[in-house]
Amino acid sequence: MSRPVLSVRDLTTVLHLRAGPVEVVRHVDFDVLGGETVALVGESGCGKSMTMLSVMGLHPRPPAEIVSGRVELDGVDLLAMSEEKRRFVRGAELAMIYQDPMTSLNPLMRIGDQIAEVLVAHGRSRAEARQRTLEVLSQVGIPLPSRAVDAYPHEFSGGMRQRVMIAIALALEPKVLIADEPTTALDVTIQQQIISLVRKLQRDMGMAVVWVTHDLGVVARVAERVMVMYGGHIVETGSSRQVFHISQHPYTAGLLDAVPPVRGHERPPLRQIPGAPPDPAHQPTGCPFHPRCPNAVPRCLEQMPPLTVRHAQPVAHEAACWVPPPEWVA
Amino acid sequence: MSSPILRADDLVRVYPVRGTRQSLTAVAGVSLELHRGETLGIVGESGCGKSTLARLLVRLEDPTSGRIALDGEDVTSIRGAGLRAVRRRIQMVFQDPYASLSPRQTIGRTLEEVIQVHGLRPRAGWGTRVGELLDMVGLPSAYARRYPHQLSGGQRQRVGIARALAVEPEVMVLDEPVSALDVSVQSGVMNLLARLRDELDVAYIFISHDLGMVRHISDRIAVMYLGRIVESGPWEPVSDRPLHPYTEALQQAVPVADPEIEATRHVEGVVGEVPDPADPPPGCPFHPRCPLAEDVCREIVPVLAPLAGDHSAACHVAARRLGKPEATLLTG
Repeated sequence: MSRPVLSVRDLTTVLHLRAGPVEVVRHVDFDVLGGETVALVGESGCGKSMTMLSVMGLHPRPPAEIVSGRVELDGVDLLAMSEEKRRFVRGAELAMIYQDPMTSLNPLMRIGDQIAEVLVAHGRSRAEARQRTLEVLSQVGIPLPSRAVDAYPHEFSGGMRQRVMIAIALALEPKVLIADEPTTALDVTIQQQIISLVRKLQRDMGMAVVWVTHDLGVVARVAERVMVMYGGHIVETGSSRQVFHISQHPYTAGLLDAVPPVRGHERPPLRQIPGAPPDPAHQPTGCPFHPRCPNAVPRCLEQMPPLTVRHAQPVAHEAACWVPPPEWVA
Repeated sequence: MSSPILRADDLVRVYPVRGTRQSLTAVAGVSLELHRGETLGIVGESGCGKSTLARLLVRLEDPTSGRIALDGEDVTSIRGAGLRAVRRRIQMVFQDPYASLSPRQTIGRTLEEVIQVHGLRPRAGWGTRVGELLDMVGLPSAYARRYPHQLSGGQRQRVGIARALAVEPEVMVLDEPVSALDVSVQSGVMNLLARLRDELDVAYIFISHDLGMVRHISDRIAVMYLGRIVESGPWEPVSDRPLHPYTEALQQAVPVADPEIEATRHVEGVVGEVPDPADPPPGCPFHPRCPLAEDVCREIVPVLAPLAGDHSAACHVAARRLGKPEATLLTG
């Protein structure tokens, strides 16, 4: 396997709220290998988007602040860079797409100009930028690129706008694409088109993709590796098969059982996880999952368990839980 | 078979398109039957008309044409006291309970209001009834004193369900009731809905874009596309062995939370996007995206027809394959 292109260590981001600072990303460690697809999965408020915004240096300041950690892209720490330098790396090496393309598209600017602007800012000539804009629009499946360059974002459907955003993100052929719920607002048939598109572009360009999602189905479809996030922590990580088939964290196991099965004649009640995901401003002590966990022991209320290796092959399968699966009550 | 509790015949809803002379047909001739205690799932993507259909069925909107009958009585254009009587029998639950709960009113007051408006209990009995309703949806009775913002999304949806239950309805129309909730919270609300149905013998119209949820709770499923029902029948064949190429595409597009299954699936994917309902294609509404489309599909709108027992589809190609080439060509 290739070496990590992106390496995150001990990343902690706090939100400065009126009531005081709250940690929303808590000592997060992970690597992304060249060309791989890894999913970061979790529910609302778990910190998955804030993690990736922090990696990009796009976390909203204020109220967010990175208080510790390193984010290395090919061995260079992005957090130690000047904002100017980091802006250059963004786009060229590391790009991000979002759930709502309108948050990153300028509604008053023709889409051709929006793509060309990125290219010119990274040193391409006007002519080169024009050429590459047409090429990348065609790569993302926008019909009639030579006409599409003159259109405004509102003239496109949601699915087509997402393609335009992908075109902007990929114009410079970054090494890593961070896709933050890019299909959540789309219908499933359009979601499938975007998944196929990202997969094809990934193959053509050899980039790594970090797919941020709440949808376990999407994870199973797109990702080779998974990181499960809860209460600001990565609580389980491993290959998709390891995490889905031999879950080592009760949250992962509960989440998988909460989804209705797609096959079979029997339809028993779904597995319920009591309660709701924690509000980041009121994180429980110890393991953030303990108030909802059927297996919690006194230690879980006091100490956050570290990620420990459960299986070494084919990739490291780690979980942060004091109670091993054989001792689970459910 | 007993007469249906709710029946719709050829419902049509046309909206004018602002600033133009065009019109948009959101619901283009939908007929359905719902029996007592039954769950009919309606699945479709955005713009298919499923939410408009819901609003027509609960009489929040008037159909342009067609007929709605509640327990055999025509309620299509009923007003005033008659409409209030209808509301006691058919209730709606919305996707976003936050938007449908008053932020300045306690949960208890919200529930009391329903009891009061419909004159369901003497004032002295309101408090007890509120406690009962909260208990039915799995909330402690102390929640009567809370405000909506003090509740989680799942708890608010439980309040939305309790409010609908307050009138002891025979039919509940649930429009995307779990779509706004986290996965770990969805399952609890789904289990609650299933339990209430069994205990109270209430009938559901369960509307969702999520085929998995619809498959899980429905007795029968109807699939909508561009204002029409394109496939309907018992849950298992519609979900697992669909006849219509659109349902097939939908089923394939939904990713399964199992990497083993996903690794073996070959997902073709469907091309293009849903056509503009203000400018629908001639013939079958799905033909521009359909891998099986033939000349007839481009010309004649297929009629929803039973093709395999009580499993119906509006597809000329499926009809021919099943030896009933005429079925989708005939009207009435």
